[in-house]
Amino acid sequence: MKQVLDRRYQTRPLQNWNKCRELRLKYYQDVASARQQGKLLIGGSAGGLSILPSGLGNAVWFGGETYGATVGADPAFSYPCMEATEAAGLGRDTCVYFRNYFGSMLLDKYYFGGSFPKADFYVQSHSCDVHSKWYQAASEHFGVPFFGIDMPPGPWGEDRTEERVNYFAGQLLDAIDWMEKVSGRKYDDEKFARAVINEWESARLWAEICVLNQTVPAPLDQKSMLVLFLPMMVLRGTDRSLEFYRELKAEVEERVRDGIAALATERYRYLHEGIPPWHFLRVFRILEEYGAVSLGSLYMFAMAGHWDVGEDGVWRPLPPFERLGVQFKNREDIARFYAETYIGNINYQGSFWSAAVKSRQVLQIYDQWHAEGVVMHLNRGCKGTGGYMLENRLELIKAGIPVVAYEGNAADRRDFDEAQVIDRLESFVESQGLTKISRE
Amino acid sequence: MVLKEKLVMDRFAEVVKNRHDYAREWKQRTGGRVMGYFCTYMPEEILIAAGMMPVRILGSHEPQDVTERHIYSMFCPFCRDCLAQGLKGRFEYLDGIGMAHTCLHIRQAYSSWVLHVPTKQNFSYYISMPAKPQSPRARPFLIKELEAFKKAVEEWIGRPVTNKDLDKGIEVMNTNRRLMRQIYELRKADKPLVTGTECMQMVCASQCMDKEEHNKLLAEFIKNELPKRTGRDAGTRLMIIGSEDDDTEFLAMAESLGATVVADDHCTGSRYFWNEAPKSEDRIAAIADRYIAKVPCPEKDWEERRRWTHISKLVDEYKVQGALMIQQKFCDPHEFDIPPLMKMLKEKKNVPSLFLEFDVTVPVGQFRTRVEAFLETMQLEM
Repeated sequence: MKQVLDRRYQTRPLQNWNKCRELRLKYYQDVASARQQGKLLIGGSAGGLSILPSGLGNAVWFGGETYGATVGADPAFSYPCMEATEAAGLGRDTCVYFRNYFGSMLLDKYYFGGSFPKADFYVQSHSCDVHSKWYQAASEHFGVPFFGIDMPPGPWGEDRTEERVNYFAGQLLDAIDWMEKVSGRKYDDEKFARAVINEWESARLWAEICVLNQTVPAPLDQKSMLVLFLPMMVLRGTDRSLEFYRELKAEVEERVRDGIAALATERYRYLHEGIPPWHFLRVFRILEEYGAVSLGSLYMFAMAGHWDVGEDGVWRPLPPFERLGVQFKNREDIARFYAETYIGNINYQGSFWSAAVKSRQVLQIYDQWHAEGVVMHLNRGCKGTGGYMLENRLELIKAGIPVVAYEGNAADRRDFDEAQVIDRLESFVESQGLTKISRE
Repeated sequence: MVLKEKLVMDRFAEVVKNRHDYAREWKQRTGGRVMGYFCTYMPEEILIAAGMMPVRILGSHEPQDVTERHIYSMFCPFCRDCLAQGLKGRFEYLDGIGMAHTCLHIRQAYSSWVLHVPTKQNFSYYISMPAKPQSPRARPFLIKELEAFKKAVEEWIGRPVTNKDLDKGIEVMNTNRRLMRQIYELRKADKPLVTGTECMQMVCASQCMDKEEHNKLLAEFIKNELPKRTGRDAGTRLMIIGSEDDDTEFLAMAESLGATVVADDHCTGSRYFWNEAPKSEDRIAAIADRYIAKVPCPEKDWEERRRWTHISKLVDEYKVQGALMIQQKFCDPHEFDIPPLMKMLKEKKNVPSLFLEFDVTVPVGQFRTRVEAFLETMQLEM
């Protein structure tokens, strides 16, 4: 039985939406034209260490995961890419972002037109098994240098060790020396410091924006947030990124003040855990037809945001940089601060460290964001962020939280059974007492 | 377990088959602790120094349905098989469990083990073994990690682990490594005196039995049994390369087809024991040096491909003619290494390869056909 449309909240389009899309397009154009513009093109993970080369000046970072996701969202382009990777002997079941990226590279076809952009060199942190192997393979393909930085796993908070931070920070310094050699450029510590501060502020602002989504009705839905967090992935540490998140935060605050909802019919709030199927973001729209709004996820909040988790377990955005009282005296200070920020990222303390910690994180955001259920995407495309998901599911069930898991792949449409997924999700929301809302 | 009447290699096979009985008997006999560990970066020297028996968690090659709710099926079958052993209570005698960082897959198994498989003394420990041993920063970091681990072990056992204890731990492990290398040397001969299957049993036995006893058996084999052996016609000389592989049934099948596996590069083979801890006044530093210099798992082999150098050397020294590339399904680090490795072997060493993807159980009939075809093709080329 269909329910009559109940627009209980006001809604309106995001003013910053187009700006975000423009930033994205401009970014991919910059990647393609870096050479013509006399800029260095440096490859590595999206987000990741993208701010490290800032000190070289006049450089563009080509992030692998975001590109792989972009390709994967378009099956017509993606299938030949993945098949090329597989034909080269690489695993059908390994990182799906890699398979899309690497195939695009093998075919020498850039998604935004022209040849695949050849990086001058690669710099990559290694927190998942694939990270350094990816850029080792890419550097061998192009015959360009590669520097990997190991990110050692371990507990954070009181149990962390200084040696872990020192090990990582030391490698950052080694990477800087190495980049100076391979690029022939002198590294400017002031530019590095500025990027680190920009990154801190942007990530903190993202966390504040996420907190605003605790409001009922939610001012943002996850489908939109997945686009809005892109600047954090590809323009981390830049002035453009910081400016964008300042404006976005102001707009979301205004939406909260005015009671503007992402979904006018919001009546059920859920988390969508795991990287979404980029080729089928309609997954969110299907549930919206029942008045269910996705508030975010551990992946999305943590990957791009800087959080402080207190003894009470509550997630709070970290304070502005100026309030930290940090003074950089030299490169070592900057590297160490960045190392702490990087290793301390909450995402690495869950997915990349401990099942128990990750379960606590999911339970916490479930409570704090006033969710009523959890949808989990068991993403065959990423073993890093997909880690411990079934253990998390068990903990959610133990806590009496409604949870449904569906299988799929973030960027390989071949691993996705649309009809079954829709059936499963619709059955889940119906089991929550929701009925499809009539459009009439 | 009655072992005395059997030949040494048969005793190794017996221990591997009945590893849990062996460990329980060892505990009863010695009153010592047994510590389970995942992967081969665990510094067993420290555990032996503390009077414990380290045992590696290996799978059973039996289909299972107990891990589906804990680890998603895209993680490697080996890590799921390992966890299954714990969930089924087969390692109920363990006093503690540990792991030195290797890959995400096995960390899933470790993390779920800690949550769901109680150990007798509730001890668990994760060593953050660097993934970039090539970095000069790795050594000092690992030294600190090992010092912290030693301290945790001391707190657990309630007594200090002295330099004398560490000397013993290092000596026992180094002797084990030396003796196993000595036996591996026998595979270089035109008529190898040991088979690949025997060597795999020997290494697996080392990973699940008292090392001093293993050393005695190795010495006994070298002294008493080796002189009586005449060697076998090697046929095609093969090497196995790849992920964790303790599938002796598969290896025996391959060696029944007119081939001998004369060398290997995997973690129940040469990668486990190839290098020794150097002598040093600073024992912990010596242990760290050993694991830093260890022939790397592909997860730790970047930027330079140091594993290639090791494999190339083995190919030359053991006169390898063909390679079986064995990959546990879903094992990312090996998935990345295998295509360029196959290319390197073909182009630089003229060694062809056969790629085989392993699961908890393998289709022996199909694999037999594929290995036969591979060997026939090689013979035509030779």
